[in-house]
Amino acid sequence: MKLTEIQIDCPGVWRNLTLPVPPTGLSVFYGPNEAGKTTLRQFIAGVLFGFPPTGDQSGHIGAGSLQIEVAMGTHRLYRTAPGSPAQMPGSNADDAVSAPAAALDESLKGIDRQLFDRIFATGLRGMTELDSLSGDDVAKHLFAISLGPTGTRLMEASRRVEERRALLIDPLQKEGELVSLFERQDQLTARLNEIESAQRRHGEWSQRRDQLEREIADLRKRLAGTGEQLRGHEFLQSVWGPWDRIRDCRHELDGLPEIAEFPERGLERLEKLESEIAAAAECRDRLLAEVRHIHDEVMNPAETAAWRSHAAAMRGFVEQRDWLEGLAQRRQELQQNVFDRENEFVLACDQLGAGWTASRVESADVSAAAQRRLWGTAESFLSALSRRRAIKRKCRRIAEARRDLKESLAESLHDLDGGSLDAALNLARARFVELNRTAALRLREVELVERLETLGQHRDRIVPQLTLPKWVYFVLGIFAFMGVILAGWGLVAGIAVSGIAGAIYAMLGITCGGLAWGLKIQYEGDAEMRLGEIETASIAAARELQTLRDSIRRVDGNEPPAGDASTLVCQAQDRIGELVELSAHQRKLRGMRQHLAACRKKLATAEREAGTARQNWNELIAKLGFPEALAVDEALAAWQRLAVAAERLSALKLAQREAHAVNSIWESYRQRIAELERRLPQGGGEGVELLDVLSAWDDQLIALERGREDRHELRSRLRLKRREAREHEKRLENIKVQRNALFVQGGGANRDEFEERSRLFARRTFLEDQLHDAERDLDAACAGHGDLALVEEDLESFEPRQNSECIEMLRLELADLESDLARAFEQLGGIQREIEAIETDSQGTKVRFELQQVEDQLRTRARDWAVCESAARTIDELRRDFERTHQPQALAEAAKFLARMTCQKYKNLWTPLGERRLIVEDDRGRSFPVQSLSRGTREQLLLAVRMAVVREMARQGISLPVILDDVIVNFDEERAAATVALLVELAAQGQQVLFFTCHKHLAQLFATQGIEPVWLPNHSEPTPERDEKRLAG
Amino acid sequence: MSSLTQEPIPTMDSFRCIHASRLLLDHQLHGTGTLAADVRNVVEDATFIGFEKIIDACLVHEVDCLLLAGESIDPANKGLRGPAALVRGIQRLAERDIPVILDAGDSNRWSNWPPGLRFPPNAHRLGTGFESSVSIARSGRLLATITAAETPSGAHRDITGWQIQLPEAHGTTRTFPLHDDPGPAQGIDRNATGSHGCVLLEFDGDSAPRQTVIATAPVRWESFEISVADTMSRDDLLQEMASILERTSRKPCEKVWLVGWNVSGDGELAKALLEARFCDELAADLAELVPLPGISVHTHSLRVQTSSQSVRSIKVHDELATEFVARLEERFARPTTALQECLMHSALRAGPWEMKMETLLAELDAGEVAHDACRMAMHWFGAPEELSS
Repeated sequence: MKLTEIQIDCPGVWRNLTLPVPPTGLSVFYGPNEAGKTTLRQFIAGVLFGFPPTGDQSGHIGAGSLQIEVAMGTHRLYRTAPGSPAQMPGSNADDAVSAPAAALDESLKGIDRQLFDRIFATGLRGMTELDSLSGDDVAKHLFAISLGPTGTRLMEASRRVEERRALLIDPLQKEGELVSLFERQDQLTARLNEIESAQRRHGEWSQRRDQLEREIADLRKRLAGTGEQLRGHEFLQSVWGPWDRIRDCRHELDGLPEIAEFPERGLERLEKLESEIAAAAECRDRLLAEVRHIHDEVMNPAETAAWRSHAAAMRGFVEQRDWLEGLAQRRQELQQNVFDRENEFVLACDQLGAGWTASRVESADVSAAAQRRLWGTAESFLSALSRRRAIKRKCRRIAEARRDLKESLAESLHDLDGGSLDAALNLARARFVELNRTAALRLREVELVERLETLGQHRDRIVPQLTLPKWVYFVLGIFAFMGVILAGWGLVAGIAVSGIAGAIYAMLGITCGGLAWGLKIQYEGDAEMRLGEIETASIAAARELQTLRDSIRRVDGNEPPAGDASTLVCQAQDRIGELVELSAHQRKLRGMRQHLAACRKKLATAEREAGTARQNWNELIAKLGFPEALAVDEALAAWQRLAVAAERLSALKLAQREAHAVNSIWESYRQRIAELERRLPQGGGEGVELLDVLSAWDDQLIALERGREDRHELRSRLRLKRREAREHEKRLENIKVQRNALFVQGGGANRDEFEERSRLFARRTFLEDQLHDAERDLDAACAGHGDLALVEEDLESFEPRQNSECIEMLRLELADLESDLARAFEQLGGIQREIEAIETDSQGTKVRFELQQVEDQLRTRARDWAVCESAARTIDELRRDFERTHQPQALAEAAKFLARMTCQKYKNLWTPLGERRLIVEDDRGRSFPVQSLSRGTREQLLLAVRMAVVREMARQGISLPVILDDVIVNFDEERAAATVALLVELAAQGQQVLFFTCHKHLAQLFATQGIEPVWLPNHSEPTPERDEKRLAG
Repeated sequence: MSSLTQEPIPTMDSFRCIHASRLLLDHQLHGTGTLAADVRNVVEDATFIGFEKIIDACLVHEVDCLLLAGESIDPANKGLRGPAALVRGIQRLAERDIPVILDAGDSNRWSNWPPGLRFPPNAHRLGTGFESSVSIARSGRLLATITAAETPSGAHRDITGWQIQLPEAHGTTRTFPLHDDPGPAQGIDRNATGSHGCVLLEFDGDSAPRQTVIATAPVRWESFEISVADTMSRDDLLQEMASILERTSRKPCEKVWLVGWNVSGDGELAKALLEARFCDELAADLAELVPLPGISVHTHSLRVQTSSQSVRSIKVHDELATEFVARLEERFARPTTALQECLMHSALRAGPWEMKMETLLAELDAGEVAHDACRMAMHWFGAPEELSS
């Protein structure tokens, strides 16, 4: 569509203005501000697409028309803005276009007002708005990169790698696994540093420990010194006492007279001797009186002789009295034992049952051998019974299993109609072989039929090859004919003219004929040979097929098989399987029968063994005297009772024998004692108890013995007293001699002198002992202190009280030192505990382990990141290449326009894969987003893009005039000139361009390009010069 | 262990010592993965437990001295627990009057020794500024003189050798150089597989020196190769892994096994092993089988290996994948700088984590990164129908 005339009636701006517009090329409209350029642009858009419902913002649009040229001819479009007071002829006041709607729609081709404003009619503001190109209708021309399978895969791969990389670390580096791990690593490192700072505390504690150990050593040293001091004072205190005693003793000893010798215990001995003299005299007198009294007693004896003559026999019986008492007691016990054993035996006989007497029990064999025999027989009997029961159970089980198997086999064999299983199996196998053979023959039949068909097809394919075209036969015929003619001619020429010429003609003829024959053989010979082979193979196949069909008929007989061959083979196979299984069952049944027979044989043997064992058992218990019907357990229990009875019987007999022997002894003694009793004076009569008689005899014997001993003793005493009296007399004399000798030894003439000398000697001895003790104490006090020396001056100047105070002071100091030492040890223990706690603290180990784990994970994630990054960068490269080679045509053209507008500063323009944004590349290959461009360059870019889209639409058949309203005012002079040249060039290529400007230099710039601007009048202040120019209207 | 002199010794007193190296007390094990609480306790204290076992071995075998080579404590570890444990162990031997000879190789390492910790009198440190040789005597009779030897080429850089001089009856001495490294007392990372501990050296009067390895490490690293066939199911793999563990001999001191599996093969099971969750569940099921009674088995890694680790080994499907592989190879043509460039051109540059990331990337194998990147991209490029949907 071309715009050829604008007619506008706009109150206040244009009044019935008519602007003729060239249908091709560039039209420049120059006018100052408020000249109505924007109104004109809005008017054109309004007429084409309708005015806004509320009228123009400025309120200038009224009504008007546009004259357009389309393919169908020239039309005029009328339109009146709603509410406009102006009325155009032919226009409706309700914003209706009175032009043919079909012509307008045909021209616009779906372009709406919005798209028209974005692309075709734009002002300076539209040039600065990037989002004016982001609409779908525009974007489909700019960003419509055809992805295709490769682009899609690249996009998907890029998306996946980006997702994976974002999981590791996001572009802001604030989230992701790597970030978490890095942060955790930092935390753990900080924690580790914190823990490892414990080493410093350890050093401090160690220093404190060393200091304490030094303090302890010092305290110990001081403690030792004080202890030594205390020991010295205590030594003096302990030594001074004995030393002082020694000094006193020696002083007193010096004052006593020297008594070199004095009888030991002289005074005591004197006292003793004098008392002995008195005692000896008294004893001597008493003994003499006793001698006289005893002599009187011995002279009066009174005894009876009768008792003395039988005293020996009586003493013999009396001495056996205890034994006889024991014998009497034993006799009673044995009688009681006989009674008890008899009762027990009777009771055991009662338990054995009636008919058991002592003689029968005694005759029974209850020995250990008999017991073993009985137990062995019982065990054999029971085991035989048990074995028989087990075999019986087994026989029963096998018989039941065999019966079940036989019944199931009988049902299966019922279908064989009385035939044997082997015959049926052979029949089934033969049937299977036959069916297999038939199936193989049928398969071979099918193969042969197919082979015949294949051979026929081959023959059909070869036959056309065999037949050469007719013109070939014609040519070959000519060749053959000419060969014959030339050969004949050569023969004639050879004969008639020349042999050589004839030979040549003959050779030519032979050559032509041979050539024709050779060509025919060449083209047809091979095919005929293959055809012959096919024919031979077909005949052989047909013959074999015939033979095969005969065989099939023989196998099938007259009736063809019912059903498919494979189904029949499967059925035969199944039948064979069933029969084989039945055969196995039959074999198993036979085996079970044999097994059952063997079991039954074993059962018979077991029965015989059980019978033999029973017979042996019965014989044995009969021999023992038990009834045969007795069960094994009962028989064993009866045998036990019999053994008990036999044992009691033997015990009874033993008791009876013992009782009889004791009674015999007792009776013999009783008779002898009674005889002696009769011979004694005052002998007792019959009926007196034996033991009572012995008691009386014992008393009598004691009395006799006592009288004899009394007399003997009196005589001995008399002799003794006389001897004692003589001895005391001698002793008295000896003692007196000793007293006199004692006086001589003591140096005293009498008792008084002796006593004085004794006192002096005792004092001296006492003092010497004291001295000795004090010296011993002194030695003992010095013994533990070998390192200390006794200094006489110190002892003489020793003050006990002062020394005690000193000791007290030192002890207090020692206690203080020990307390300090204990406190120091306590502190040392605490420090060592602290040190040990630090040394054994495992927190560092745990943190270090976790840090190690985090670092391991970091290595893994870093590797993943490197993998993702490498893949992403490589994919990006591929993607960029893809983008460069798959950009839409509009963008490629826009890039050319931009390069021209920017004087080759920006050479490339492209859009990333799958995105709606533009990237510009400069002459050094650097890429920039649109937002980073300067305003002028951005406007140049958007103008280039618009012009490229216009060209793209034009190629799609949408041709509308381009209206540019001062869009290059921000261009520098050079780029403005380049842009103007580009616009002029585009206009020259057929694009109608209406350029409005208020800048004179731009109008002049167009003028230099040969475009004469249309000067719009200035409504506010008309100038005289304007009339000289080309004025609108 | 074979470099000891094998000549017979004519007459001399018997001499026994235990040789251990690189105790690294309180040094934590690398690459264990996440552990259960009871296992973690053992792993945390593994170096301590191992050292205690070495001391026990000294007391049980009534050795004449203990030789400790290499770093007994981690110099980077500022904690006190390691040095204190070392002192406690030496103190235990001091009660039996057993000397402990420490040769850290570099005597500067003792400069970091905590000043508050005092070595017992039976501890002898060799090196510059310390003792040059230690004489071991029993009942007033000289048994041996031990000195540090020159480090032989090929030995561990922290381990110096020993020279043991044993006096003979006729006044001469025999010298036994001891250059063998018994290995760390406790394996620290996954490369230190097998049992670890110390070596008992016995020098008898009439025979050559005898060496007995005494396992003391409570944590054992192991690595097993396992092949996955196409027909193998998950349970088959589980049983195979358990039987491999059961076949491997164990030591009484071992409480935890940290096992790494290198799985080779193709097929669905091998593909499933690329999923971390699948591997975790497999490892948990393996631990529940209790293949080693009394030992906790923990799987720290389960790697699926292809026949080659190069990028070229991955089959490419189409032009885009081929182009990707080519670009990736071009990027990693200089492996030393590829990862640094990766960081330099990333969003992390000049960010708060750049330094840490740079340190981590420096430890990575660029070839493995390239291989993984290729495999990841192939996984995406390999399913165009999925992507297009």
